[in-house]
Parts: sequence; structure tokens; C-alpha cells
Amino acid sequence: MVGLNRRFLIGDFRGAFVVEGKGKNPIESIFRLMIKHKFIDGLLTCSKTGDSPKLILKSDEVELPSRNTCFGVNSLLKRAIQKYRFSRLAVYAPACTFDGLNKTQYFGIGCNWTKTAISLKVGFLCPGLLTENGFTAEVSDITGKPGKVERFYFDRGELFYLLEDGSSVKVSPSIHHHYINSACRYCLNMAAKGTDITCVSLKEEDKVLFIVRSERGWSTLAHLQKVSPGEVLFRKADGELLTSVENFLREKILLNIADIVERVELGLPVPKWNDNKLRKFYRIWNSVDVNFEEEVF
Amino acid sequence: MFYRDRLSFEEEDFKLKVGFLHFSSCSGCQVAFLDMFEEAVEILDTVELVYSNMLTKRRDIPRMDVAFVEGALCVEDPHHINLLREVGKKAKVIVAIGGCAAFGGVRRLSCGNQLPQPQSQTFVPVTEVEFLRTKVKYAIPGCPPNPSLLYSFLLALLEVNEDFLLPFELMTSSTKASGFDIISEVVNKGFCVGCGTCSTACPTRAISFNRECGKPSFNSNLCVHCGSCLAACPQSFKPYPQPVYV
Amino acid sequence: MRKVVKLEGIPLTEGHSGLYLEVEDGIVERGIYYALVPVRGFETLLLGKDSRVAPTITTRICGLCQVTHAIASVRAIEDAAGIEVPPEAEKLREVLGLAVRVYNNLLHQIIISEDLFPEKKEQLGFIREVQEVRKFAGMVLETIGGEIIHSPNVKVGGISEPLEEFVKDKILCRLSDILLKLQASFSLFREKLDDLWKREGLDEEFGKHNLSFFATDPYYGKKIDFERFSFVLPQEILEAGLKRRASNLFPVIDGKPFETGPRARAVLFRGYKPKGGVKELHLLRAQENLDALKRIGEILESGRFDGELWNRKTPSSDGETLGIGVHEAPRGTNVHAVKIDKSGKIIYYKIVVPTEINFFAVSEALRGVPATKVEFIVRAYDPCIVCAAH
Ligand code: SF4
Ligand code: SF4
Ligand code: SF4
Ligand code: SF4
Repeated sequence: MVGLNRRFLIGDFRGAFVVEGKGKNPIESIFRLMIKHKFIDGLLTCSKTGDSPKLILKSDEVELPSRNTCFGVNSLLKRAIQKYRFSRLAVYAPACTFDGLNKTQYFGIGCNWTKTAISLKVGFLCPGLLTENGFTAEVSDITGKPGKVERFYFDRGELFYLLEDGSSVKVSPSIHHHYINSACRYCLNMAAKGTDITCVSLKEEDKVLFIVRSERGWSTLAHLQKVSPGEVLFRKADGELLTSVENFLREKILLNIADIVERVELGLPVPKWNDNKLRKFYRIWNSVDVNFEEEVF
Repeated sequence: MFYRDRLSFEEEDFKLKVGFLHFSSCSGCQVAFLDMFEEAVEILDTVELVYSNMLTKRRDIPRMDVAFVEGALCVEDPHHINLLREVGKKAKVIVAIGGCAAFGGVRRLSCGNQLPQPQSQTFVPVTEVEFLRTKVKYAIPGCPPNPSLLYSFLLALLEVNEDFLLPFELMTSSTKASGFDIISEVVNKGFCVGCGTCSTACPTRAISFNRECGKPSFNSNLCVHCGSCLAACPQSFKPYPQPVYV
Repeated sequence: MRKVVKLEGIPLTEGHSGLYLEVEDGIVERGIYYALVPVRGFETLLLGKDSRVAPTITTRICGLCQVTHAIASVRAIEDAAGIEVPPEAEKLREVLGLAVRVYNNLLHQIIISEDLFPEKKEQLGFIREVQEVRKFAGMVLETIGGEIIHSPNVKVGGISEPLEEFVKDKILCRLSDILLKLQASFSLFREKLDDLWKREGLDEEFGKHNLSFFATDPYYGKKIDFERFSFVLPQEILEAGLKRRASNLFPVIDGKPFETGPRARAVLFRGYKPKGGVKELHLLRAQENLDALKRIGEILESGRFDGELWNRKTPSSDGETLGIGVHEAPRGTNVHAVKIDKSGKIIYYKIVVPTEINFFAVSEALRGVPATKVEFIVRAYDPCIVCAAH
């Protein structure tokens, strides 16, 4: 049986840091520096409101989606790689975008020579994406009236929205689970395991939890500190913070697993050419001794 | 894999014998191989190209380990029928390369009645031919497939990387593909995460992205039935374990 | 002794084609060259379709000179529907056409490299060098056209994506380097061609014919009167078995056969005095690569292309006007003719590709050459059979 432990929920990583940006969003600062110092030649992500994919070329244009919505990022891959001929592209998006990206890298499908064109993958911890209407319905459900969401963050293991009027609302996983995009209800990789770095947004706008996974993520950050020391500050994250993130993920993933189990038991269809990862997961979930490490879902 | 039978005794001398054959196609898939540019030269050096009317002088079709077949079979053409028999006899493994060979591709639109041979009107992808059923091991989507896909595929074939090859094996069993797959197989089934990979993968830009809904939007007029979109979608198949490129 | 020889499948050429030869004492008295790949019916499958999808479909006629069909197709539709195209879009199309000229002509050098280089190692070395230039041409096609093969950006009314200045600079900054590489490979090519001619005992006039030349422009393509074309059916001129198999038409212009292609362009627009024979055809084709690259540089340097390049007007016409789109493809003049109705649907489509025009030129060139050497004639014309049997 799959243990819902840290390894499964967050995945392997080399280190976790709370990164402080001195009043600014530290991830944005980092990307700004990376463009300025030519570590990367472009940044592929979404606009601030998350409603349209965006390719950022200049450091003063760096802006990242602040809400849990970020659709269509990969639709600009060909423009970035085949047209602009970028060879050191950074991508900031949720996990599933990297599933698509990793796939084009591994198989070569979809966009020509993606394998050699990406230099940094930064995923964000994703509680499930919403459309604009999704936000409206969800906020109304929770607060009784529609409100515009400015940003999402995690605090002590709970998901919060900061609304336009400055108020914060706590979003319970079960309500959130109801309104999110359907595919997110079967997601087993909210912590973006196939990336170099996973970011978790925190209550203070200028603080972010960085979960550094790969050697590349590690050395990029180290290099960045060397070329511009003091722009962002790194502090080792305490165990409590990680545990709280883990707790959120556990609570949410149990809802996802319930949906997966139901889906498999009802025999609802999966896409053709699919190797049926849901059924695979179902088998592992129900068996005693399969080692889940062989499969990354 | 069976083309490697001989490997047991002559490991060093083993050179994969490959050939290119084409049915009704635009030759673009074969040219896409050359569009690996420098890498194509390395590949030409690593494998033994035993047949291609474009790149070798041979007239007869020799025995080969892997035949890359592009294009759809024109049933009215006696030469195609012969070719079909030949390739069935001479190749150990057939790879249907490109939309035309794998899923019908742009040939799905043909309707005949053009001079000087108005009777040429029946086109079937090689994956639909029962006679080759056991031989057609892999289908490669795309119109044409990305050179980088062809490169990775060839390497996987040489290294017998079953994990890599498996999805392409699965694709031979579906003789149809179009952008509507994205809707019916992914969006309708509740699996679309809205990543946009399908939209970038489409060689004709038939798939745009609906920002409001965070879903792809498909314009069937522009579709050439190549299968790239579903093949690129992370919800069809994924590499396992997930690769991290460092 | 007189005999008839039929060859099927000409190695080191694109597609499946055949030669019918009447040979007297080993010398060809009369020959006919024809296509043997089945007709795919691009002219008929387009009927009833929205004219805006025509470039997407017609580009798939050919994977060697893809974009030329897209260009001829959109120009024909624009002509029929009276759509104005931003001049910058036309210039970028010209660049795409020239890039594919280089891309394709060098592919031809790769195809015939087995003839040129008896040594496999040398051959691979040559291919490697040529590939570098092709890679650059591929980059131009990919950045401006969207893909290397089958450019989706060529649209009725223009080009769907602007070319940003920094992308343009990426192309321009490599151009002079690539030109040098191309010059080097051109010299090697010329040298090896001389060797081949010597090795095979061919003379300079090998493959000479007396046909006139046809071309519309050195680089891009100018509108012509479609009425000048008429078509000979293979059923009219081939013998029994072949009647039912040859899959190309034999177009004639003003009732006469012509040669089109690099030599035609050189003769008509550069004042070149043809020596006759097919060797110069190889050299003129190679020369066109250099000219094309220089021209690409000129066009790109001549202005900015980062504005709106696409007039999105919905095509519509009276169903009578014959729109004609011409593009000077690598192998010669490529012509598409179209009629569209009020709703923008295609109601008539006709394609004349350069290889089709050259079938008679090849046939003429065969006259008087040894039957054992006929393949060298065919290869020199770089026929594209899939285009011919579109
Ligand atoms: S929850 Fe999972 S599937 Fe949904 S957007 Fe986030 S990472 Fe993608
Ligand atoms: S799949 Fe596309 S590129 Fe390949 S032969 Fe068919 S039309 Fe040409
Ligand atoms: S929508 Fe595009 S990618 Fe999908 S099958 Fe059609 S042409 Fe191919
Ligand atoms: S590729 Fe992405 S956007 Fe397209 S159907 Fe698949 S999951 Fe949806």
C-alpha cells in the first residue's frame, strides 16, 4: 500500500528553504536576476491573473501568476523554441504543465528539440486550478458573496485566498475539491515532482518556501547568490513548515484518491493510448507490498 | 526484440538494417529524418541503410530489420500492392511513420476523380492492412514527425528501450486519429489539465487555446489527421519514471 | 538493333517514376519520362472546402519543397478574391520560398551524393557540410514559416506571425558564415561533378535539347496567363500498359514543351547563354543557392517585419474569376489556379508543378544519349514525382 508519507506527497528533494525577497516576491526577483545575468533567455509562464500564457523576455517584465490558475503555458512552447530559438528557457507552472513538457523532452513529440532547450523548471505547489468562473463560484460559496481573488497561499497547512478587498478567506479542501478543474481531482502530483524547484506561496507576500529537488536547481540558486548576494535571502526551512505543507497535501490527496478509486471501480473510460495510470495506482493502493517508488504518478 | 536475434553471437558487427519505403505520401516524413541535420549523418553511419529510392541505388528491395514506411496504400495501384507484398516478406519490423501511414493523415481527404488516373481514390493507412498486422510494430504520429522525435525513436530502437517504444506500439492499434481525439479522449473524459501541449504540437495550428475555460479548442477544418496532439498530451501516455533533465 | 527498354524506379530520385526508351544500337532514339506514384487527387479533394484551408492541405503535396505549394495556393486565392496582401508578408513569403530553394537543392545534392562520392567516408563528410547549410535554411523556415516542413504560417491574406527584430537578427547574424560554408561546399560539388562526368565518360553536351525555357521571375513568381497551358494525357502518348499507370499530365505552354527551373531562370533573367547539356543544370542549381541566400539577406535587411502581416479578410469571389498563384519553386514555375464562390468555398482547383512541365524536357534530353546513362539525365532535373502526381 502506498504510504501517504513525505516521500510520496512532496517527493525527493535536496533541501528546503524559506526565501525572502525584501518586500518583493522572491521568485519574481530570482527570475529577474536570471534574465539580467543571462542564465536564461526567456521565461515561459502565465500572466499575473493566470488567464493567458506569456513568454517573458525582459527582466523588467517579469510577473508571475499569483492565483492558482495557470492554463495553456505549453501552447507557447513552439514559439519559444522553434521561433525565438531559445535554448535556455525557464518555465514556471503547475506540475501537469511539466508532465507535458517532460514528455516532449523525453519523446521529442510536440515541439522540436525541447530536450536541449529548457534550463530551469520551477513548479508551484498546486491545490488544483480554477477558471475565473470557478473562483467566483467558490468564493461566493465560502463567503456568501462573489469576490475577486488576488493571490493564494498556504498558512499552517491550510489554503487561503487573499481577496481584492484585502480580506483573507480560508478555503477548505473539500469545497475547493468541488470547484476545481476535473482533471485536478485525479492529480497525484500536486507538489510538482518532475521539476528542479517547487515553490510554495506563504502568507507574507515576500516569502516563499523553495523545495529544491535537482542538482541543477541547487547550483542555479547557488550561482545566483554569488552574482548578486543579498537580493534574496535563504533560510533553511524548519520541519514544522514542511509538515504543514505535507498535511495539506495529505488532506487534499485523500479526496483525489477517493475520486480515483470511484472512477476505477465504475470503469469510467480513460483516453486511448493511455497506459491507465489510474488503474495502476488503484492496484498499488490496494495491495500490500508493491513499492510505489517505481512509479511516479 | 526479434530483430536482435542475431545479436547473441555477433554483438560487435551488428548493424541494424533499415529501409525507407513509401506509399502515397509527400516524402516529407523521409525528409524529416534528414532534418536531424548533423545527427542524421551519425545515424546514417550507425545503421545500415539498405533501401531508399532517394538515398540508395538499389532497385530491388532487400531483406531488412526495420522498414520505415510512409504514406497510405492506394488500393487501385498495382505497384502499391506489390510493394505491400514485398515489404511484408522482406521486413522483420515495420514502422508506420507519419500521419499518412499511421492514421491516414491528409489522405483521409482524398476522393479520386483526378486526371490522368481518376480511379485512384482508395487510400488506407498501413496500420489498417490486415496482411501486415503482425509486422507493423510501431506507429509514429506527426505530419511530419518532429526530427527530434525521430531521433529519439531511432535511439530507442537501437537500444531496445521498451519503455520508450511501448506507446508507439499502442498507437498501431488505433487506425484513426484527429484533433477530435483531444476533445473526445481527454476533455470529455475529464482529464484535460489545460496545459496547452496539444495546441503547440499541432503542425497545422488546428488547435487553439480557449483561455476562458482553460481548454483546447479544435478547428476541424485545419486538421490533417496526424495524431500529434493526442500523442503529445500528457494525459495519453507519460514517460515513467518521470525523467528529470539536469 | 532496335529495342524498347522500360525502366521502373530511378534510384537517387524522389518518388517512383519510369522511363520508356526506344533504343537503337545502344543509343536512345526516343524516350518518355513519366510518374508512377498514384494520383492523390489534391485538385479534387479541395472542392467544397473553405479556401482558407487550401494552403494547409496543398503544402502536403510535397515534403521537399513544401512551402512553394502553400505560397502558390494562397496567391491564387488572394488573386481570385481580390485580397490585398501586406507587402512585408509577400517579402517574407519570398524569403520562405528562397529558404526552401536552398533546403531542397541541397537535399538534391545529398540524394545524388552516392554518384559523386564513390568513397562512403567522403560522402558522409560532404553530407555533414551540406547539412549545416540545410540546418540554417531549416531555421529560416521554422522561424518564419512555423515548421521546417509544411509551414502553417502561410495564410490567405498574409503571414500569421510577425517576425520580431531580434529573431530576424538571429538569422542575419549567421548568414555570412553560412554563405562561406555554402561557397566551400559548392566548390567541392563542382569538382566532384567534373570527376563524375569524367568517370562516366560523359561530354559537356550530354543531355542537350532544343526546347525553349519558361520562368516568371528569378526569385519569387509573377502571374501568368493560365490559358497558355494545355495538357497532354499519358493515355494519348504512351503504350498500352503504361497508359493505365502513368500518373502525371504533360503540360505544354502555347502548345509546346518547355524546360523550367534554374537554367530557365538563368537564361531568361540573368542573360545566361546555355551550353546545353545537363551538367550545367547541376551547376546553375547550385549557383541559385548562393543567390538565394544573398537575396534572403537583402530582403531581411530591407525593412521591418514585426507589424501586422495578415489581412484577415474572408475570401469570397464570384465563382467565375480564375485566381492564379505563381511561385518559382526550386524546380521551376509552380502554378495554382482556383475559383471560389461567394461563401469562400473552392469550386475549381488546378495545379501545374514544375516537374510536370519538365517531363517533356527530360524526354527530349534523353534523345541521343547511351541507354546506360539515362539515369544521369533524370537525376540532373531533380524531379519531384510526388508533386507531379499531386
Ligand atoms: S492539481 Fe495537479 S493536475 Fe491540477 S493543475 Fe495542479 S498540478 Fe495540474
Ligand atoms: S504524414 Fe505528412 S509529412 Fe508525412 S508523408 Fe504524410 S503528408 Fe507528408
Ligand atoms: S488537430 Fe493537429 S495535431 Fe491533432 S490530428 Fe489534427 S492536425 Fe494533427
Ligand atoms: S495536452 Fe494539455 S491542454 Fe491539451 S488536451 Fe491534453 S491536458 Fe488538455
